[in-house]
Amino acid sequence: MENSRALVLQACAGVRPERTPLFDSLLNDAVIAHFAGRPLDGTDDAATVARAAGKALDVVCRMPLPDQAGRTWTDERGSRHVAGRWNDWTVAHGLQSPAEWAAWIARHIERYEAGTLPDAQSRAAAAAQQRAMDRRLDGALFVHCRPATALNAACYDHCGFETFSYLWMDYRDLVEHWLRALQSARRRCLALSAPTTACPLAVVYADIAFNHRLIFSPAMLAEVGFFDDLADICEQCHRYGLQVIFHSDGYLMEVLPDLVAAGIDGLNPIEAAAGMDIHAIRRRYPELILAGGVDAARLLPLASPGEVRRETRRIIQAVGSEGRLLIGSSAEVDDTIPLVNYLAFHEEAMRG
Amino acid sequence: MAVDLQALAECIIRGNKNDALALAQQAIEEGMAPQTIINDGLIAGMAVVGQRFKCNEYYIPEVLLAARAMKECMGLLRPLLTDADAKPKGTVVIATVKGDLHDIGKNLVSMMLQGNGFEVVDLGTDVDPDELIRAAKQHRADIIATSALLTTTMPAMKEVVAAADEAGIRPATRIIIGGAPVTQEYAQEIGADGFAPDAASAVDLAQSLLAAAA
Ligand code: B12
Repeated sequence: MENSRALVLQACAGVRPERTPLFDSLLNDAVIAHFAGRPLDGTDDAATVARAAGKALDVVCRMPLPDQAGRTWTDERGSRHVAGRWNDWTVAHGLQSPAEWAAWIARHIERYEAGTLPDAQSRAAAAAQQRAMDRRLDGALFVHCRPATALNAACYDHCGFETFSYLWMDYRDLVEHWLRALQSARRRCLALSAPTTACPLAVVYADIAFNHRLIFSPAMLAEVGFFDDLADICEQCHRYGLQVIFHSDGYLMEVLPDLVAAGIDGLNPIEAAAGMDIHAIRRRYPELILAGGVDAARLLPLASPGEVRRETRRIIQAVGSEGRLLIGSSAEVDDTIPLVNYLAFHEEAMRG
Repeated sequence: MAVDLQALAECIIRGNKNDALALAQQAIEEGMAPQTIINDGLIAGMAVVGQRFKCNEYYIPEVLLAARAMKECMGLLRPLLTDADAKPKGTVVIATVKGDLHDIGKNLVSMMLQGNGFEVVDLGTDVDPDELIRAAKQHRADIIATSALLTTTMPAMKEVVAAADEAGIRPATRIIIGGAPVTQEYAQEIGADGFAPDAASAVDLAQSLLAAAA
């Protein structure tokens, strides 16, 4: 939207902006068609998605394109994937046992370690790509910088939590080495995306929790170097002038002090259904930028438009009175949310 | 020296599969009854794991490691069980419902049930109500367990209840439900036989339903 950057900068600096900026990802056909003014019909869907995101949001976290649901493919590890309209899934891992994974990891560590920092040419190419994407967004800010912690890269991009747990028990040295290699790959990636992004925010995707509890114990998180790794991300982002929004679904209160100590500037998506209380967090951490907060588990999909409006207003008033609120869904705007409810939320937020 | 089954239980609790396997093997060689090793070593260990998970002392990796140690030991012991011994506490057909692909919670429930002496038939994710009913009939399931992680896939649980009613397999086959957005009230609303908030409570629930049926 037109003055997104100014609004976001104000909000993040702790000044109450004219209106609370909108922070989300759109994965919803009806919402996209509404804001783009045309449906996703397979003809230049990338432009339709960008147009909608640019019209609806101030900060666009992700911008996936609709896929052909049911499409399947096998990757180089032999894992089978199936596409949904907005997500894809690993339906069968090619590598099964921890021993097979360990052999694969040992072979691939070298590849990660062999990488070098991006040169001027690749930095310029990345910057040009960012600018081309930004131009389609009508002033809205796209989060180009989305570093993952090594633990999350290992679990979500590679072997899954279950195998990771076995590998951590059976092949500790190798996994420690792997995590370091994933970290250095991430640092290179960040050096490519962070210096030129127009968006003043980085979002660290790091799902470590679920309903009312953490997936990993705080002790294990410390042992795998999760907090140090996060501090490393924060330090690098801060050097480039970016504020760091930490994204994890689920209930994080047990480690919130550790996340803050690692240097995060904000939290997303603040999942009330998982036990996160945005009002309590605001009271305890007045400095934290809170991004998300509007319940996508029950409220947005199932409540009436009036209820959606009331809750949106309540959050803006109670949490955003001093800025530091980027309002959005507590997940993503996916197809479970009826258009009328999204519009109720959006109109209420736009009222300031 | 006779193997101390408490030590075997400890290995399960700590997820130490190699030591657990060694102790189970030693117990077998000493001629201990396989069912005793299972009950007083493996299941006793898993009970502690379940307890610790319930009160937030254990997290997911600890449970996965314990369940793996248990499973490997069962691999040694199962072939030694007599037909009478081999009778499981009950048979559970489990799946994540249609339209939903989350499987971590479902897998954990499945492991905990197995760890406590249930036979579990896991149909995977995105499973049709009809497929669940077919499998429940084929395996003469005592319990159908369904998991949903999306508010929008929860109604598929109601379809499972309706399909089970229509197939006439209730009340012999009980239906239990769970997953992050699911509640006790929802279970009541759709006429399921029970809900549990976590994998350890799922075992308690399954046991109490079977005890009530006996
Ligand atoms: C990990 C995760 C994923 C992984 C899944 C990996 C996998 N192989 O399963 C990935 C990243 C792939 C993913 C994808 C998606 N996810 Co997701 N995901 C999560 C997350 C972070 C944790 C879920 C989890 O594994 N928890 C750990 C396990 C152990 O817990 P659990 O499943 O709750 O199970 C426990 C209990 O519930 C119980 N239990 C579970 N099943 C059963 C069954 C019975 C019978 C019983 C008795 C008990 C029981 O016992 C278990 C152990 O104690 C949750 C956040 C959350 N709050 O839960 C979001 C969440 C579930 N996901 C969500 C969404 C929206 C999605 C997507 C639609 C994303 C998108 N926008 O496109 C897709 C789903 C596509 C689809 N069709 O299914 C939302 C759902 C909102 C809602 N209520 O509708 C959540 C809540 C996140 C959010 N911010 O709101 N997800």
